[in-house]
Amino acid sequence: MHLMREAIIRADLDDLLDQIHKVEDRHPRLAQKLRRLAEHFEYQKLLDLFDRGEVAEGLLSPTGSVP
Amino acid sequence: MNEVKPEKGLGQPASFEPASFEPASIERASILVVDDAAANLEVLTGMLKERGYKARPVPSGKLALLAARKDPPDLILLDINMPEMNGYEVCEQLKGDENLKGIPIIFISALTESLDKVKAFAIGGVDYITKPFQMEELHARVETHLKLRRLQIELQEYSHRLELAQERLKFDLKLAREVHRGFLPLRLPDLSGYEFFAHYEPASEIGGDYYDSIQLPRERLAILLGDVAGKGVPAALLMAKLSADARVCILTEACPAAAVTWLNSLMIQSGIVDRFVSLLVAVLDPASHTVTLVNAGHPSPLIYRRATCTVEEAMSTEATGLLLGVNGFEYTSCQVSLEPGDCLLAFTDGVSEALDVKNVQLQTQGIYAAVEGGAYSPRGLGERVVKVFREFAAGRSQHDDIAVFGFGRT
Repeated sequence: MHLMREAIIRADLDDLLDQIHKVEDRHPRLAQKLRRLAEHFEYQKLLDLFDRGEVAEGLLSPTGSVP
Repeated sequence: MNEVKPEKGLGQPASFEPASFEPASIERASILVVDDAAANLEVLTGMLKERGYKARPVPSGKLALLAARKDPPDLILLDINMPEMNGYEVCEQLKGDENLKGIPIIFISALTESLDKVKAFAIGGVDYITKPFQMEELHARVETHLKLRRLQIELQEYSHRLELAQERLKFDLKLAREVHRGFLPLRLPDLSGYEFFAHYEPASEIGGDYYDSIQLPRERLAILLGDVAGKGVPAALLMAKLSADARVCILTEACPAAAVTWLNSLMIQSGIVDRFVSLLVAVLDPASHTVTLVNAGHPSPLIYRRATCTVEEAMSTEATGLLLGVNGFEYTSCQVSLEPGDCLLAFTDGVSEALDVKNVQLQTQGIYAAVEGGAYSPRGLGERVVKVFREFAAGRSQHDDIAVFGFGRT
């Protein structure tokens, strides 16, 4: 999660998509949401998700549901 | 917001052949692309990645600053018209940051007024590209500025290394000067009925002048005054070797001329080539008040006759041998007597070849003229010569070491 946030701050889209890909199997819905935002360069919204703890919550959820 | 228009300027990514420019470095150059239009970001990053760059798209000025601070890119492509923080403001903030101010910024904008371009350059932009643009043109400009930046960084690193090397050299020279100074005697000889004088003044660069006094059997005293040709550490090192060898020769060989001939052969045998040393050896015998002189290419010492207050050369040109460093030369000696009050004063060519502001040399005759007619003690005579030198060379930087050594009967 930390690496994903770092990639957003660095605006390293390739790295960010790689990080999202790594969680895709276990958290498909969360990954889909993150990927959509990343592909539309919605970094601020992504950072807000992280800051509100929603990404952490999604990663901890067994279904990978997004709040 | 200004949309890049692929159909007019960029075309579709797949239709482009990568240009033939050399990559700026083996590691992919990182380029921050700042534009609030997602379509523009998509097209530009696609094009840049196709050409081997690491493109980092950012949709706002605020996030661009965050990204640049977190991981400084090699170059920034910056849109001007963006909400919240426009390109000019982003540029100003980057240029105000010590760590980021060197990053080249290329503005990309649909603004075509000269004033917009002038402002972009005035706040630190390195280039300005108007939309719509040809990707080949953008690629060429990006590559040019990446290369310029790389050269600038190399130059800064080189300059830094040069500064460090210069500092080290200064330190080494300071140390060498101290070591050089350590070869000179700490105190003057103490001999009843005689007074001694010595003065040494190094030029800014380390040199090879030296003097020494060596106590010999039967209360005799050898005075040596030498000058190694050239300056710098090589001259000082040769001086150090010479002073050690000279002590051995003078203490071992009873005849001063034979001692100097031996010293010369030692210098030749050591393999030192194209290095020459002038050396004056004066052996004072206080019992007879005589001085035996051996001169290897040194300016003749002067004799000051107290009874007449006159000055004369202590030895003729014929009695002066060649510089040390000339193979196979046999040195000879001559002898002078000192009456009460008489002095013998020797100096290196830094004194006699001193230049005034008009580039005129003091010369031996200038020294003689300045002391002729006055009444001096041995110390007073030495101090007078140093004063004459200083007054003559006033207003000029000292270009050579000066060493003066004198003694006389009280």
